Amino acid sequence: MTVQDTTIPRPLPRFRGVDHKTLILIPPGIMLLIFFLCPFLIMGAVSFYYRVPDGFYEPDFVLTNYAAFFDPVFLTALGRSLTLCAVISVVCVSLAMPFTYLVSQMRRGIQVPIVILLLCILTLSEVILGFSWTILLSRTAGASNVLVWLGILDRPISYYPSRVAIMIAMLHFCFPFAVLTIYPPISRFDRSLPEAAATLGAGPIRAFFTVVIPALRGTIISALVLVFVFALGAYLFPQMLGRPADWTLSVLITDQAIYKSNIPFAAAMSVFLCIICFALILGVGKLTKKTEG
Amino acid sequence: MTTLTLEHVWKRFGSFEALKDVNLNLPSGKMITFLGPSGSGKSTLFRLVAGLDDASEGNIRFDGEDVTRHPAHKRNVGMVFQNYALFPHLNVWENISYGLKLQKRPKAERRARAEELLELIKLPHIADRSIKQLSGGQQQRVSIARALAKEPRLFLLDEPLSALDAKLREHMQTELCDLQQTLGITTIVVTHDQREAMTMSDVVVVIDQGEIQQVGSPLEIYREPATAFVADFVGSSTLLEGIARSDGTFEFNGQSLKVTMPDWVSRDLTPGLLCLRPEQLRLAQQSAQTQNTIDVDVSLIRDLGSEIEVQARAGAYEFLVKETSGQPLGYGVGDKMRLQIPETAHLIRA
Repeated sequence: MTVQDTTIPRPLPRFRGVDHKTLILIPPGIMLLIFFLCPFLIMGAVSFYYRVPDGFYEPDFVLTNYAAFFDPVFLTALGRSLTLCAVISVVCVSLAMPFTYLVSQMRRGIQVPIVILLLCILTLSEVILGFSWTILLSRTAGASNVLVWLGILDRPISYYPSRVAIMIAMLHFCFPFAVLTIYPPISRFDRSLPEAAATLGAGPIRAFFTVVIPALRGTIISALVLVFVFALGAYLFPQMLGRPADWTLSVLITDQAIYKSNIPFAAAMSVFLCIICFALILGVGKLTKKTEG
Repeated sequence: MTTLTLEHVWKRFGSFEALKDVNLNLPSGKMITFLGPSGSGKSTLFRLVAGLDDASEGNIRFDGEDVTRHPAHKRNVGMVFQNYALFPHLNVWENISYGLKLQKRPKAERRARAEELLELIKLPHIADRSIKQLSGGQQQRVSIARALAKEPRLFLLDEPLSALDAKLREHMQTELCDLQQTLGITTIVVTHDQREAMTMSDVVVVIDQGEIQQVGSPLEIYREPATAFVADFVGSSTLLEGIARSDGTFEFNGQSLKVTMPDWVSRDLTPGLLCLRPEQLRLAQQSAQTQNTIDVDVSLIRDLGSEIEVQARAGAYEFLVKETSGQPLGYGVGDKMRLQIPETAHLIRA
């Protein structure tokens, strides 16, 4: 009896009829409220404020900030952002999928160092990665010097600012996240599925595309969304490695808020960006649930 | 109908030899089992036959054609995996016709073939169900149908009954045998369950420590085990260590037992193991004047209702004797008795 008494956890004290599970959720709930929901609501409110020309803003309820979305400048920026992020997420996941699949088939002794290496990339901040790429793609010290040395180029050139430079840096930044999202489901993936496909006449590449990819489509979709949202939020890379014409929505928001002091318009764009992200995550959640029965 | 031949097949994993010089010649259209304990190399051998692993050395032939270097997808074998390995993103009929789709057969033909196979496995009307809606037994049948869709040269089943509950297992066992007989396809089943192997197969291949111990019909395996391992692994037996003499006696513990000598006893004083099966043995009273007996002490009597199991001991040896239940035994635990050894007892080369 005494042994049992010590092993059964005593019921946690109830606080005014609220049970402990709810109590535990209160501190993080308060945190979320203060540091996430409140700023968001303030931002939402500000997005309807009136911007005083050549001044700051005053409380009001106007829709001009949202109406500004129909400005072709904004629409092209939006389209550019979404395309850039979509391309990055597709390229990133298409690289990460076979990479992770191959890594997961290696011996444990090789898998672990590779995963550690990927985690190392995560310790580097966006700023460090961005500056590293400005050096690597520069004329004076960049990769083109190697090409010159190899005799492929006549003289070194600079590869940035350009859209390709933005993409390379973003890929570098997002790749570990994509791999780490895909890695657990792939390492848990039933190896007998591709083997079954093989006995039914599918070569390794065919089995990969007809069995491994479709069976992992839920994972792939979540990795795509993760990278997409990540890329949509990145604002340092486009600024450091791109021209103003390549700027994405995040950069435009920063630009409006800080340099043009048009806080209401920046807030409206932020709300819009948030809505896009939410819609994507929800939509994908529904989609993967449906496909996985 | 395919004959399977393995010639000097070796498989090494680093310095570990999983298969050592395996030679096999298996007849076509038969039910064959690879029987062995876990880690015996039976699954390795099975995977080599399927083409999922490469042999380190030696040749594998289907109908004489060398397929050693053919990967799995070029061998046309139908395999049922232990966990069924059904494709989760495809429904039942798409799973079954996956192999046909790879061959770019028209949809109507694929659908027809899938339905024909569903009929064969006695699960019509489930063609459009998703895999997750099926029970374990149904999944296994679908996996069988999928393996048979392309009319494979060999039908391979990896521990097909291990995941099923006892009742379903017996049912599936007979059904598999029926299926094999209807199709007449060369079938290989891997199992560690000796009863399963004995009841299902035409040919049993007993494997231990990467070596083929014996190939034969279930009765041969049981009655004339080739090695001590086979005698021990298949059914229960007591092995007496002794020396075979050319005059037809087996010397054991200073006693001479009269035994029919197999051909391999060519010279006097050949060491051998006498294999005694419970149903061959009888216990007699000490007063009875019988030849070919060993003095034993009865150590345990267990009435199972259908039969009585009697354990008797002589030195380090323990014997199991089966008596009919419902009749008085005429002896009890602790009694000294005489164990009658039949002349037909099988002698194994030591």
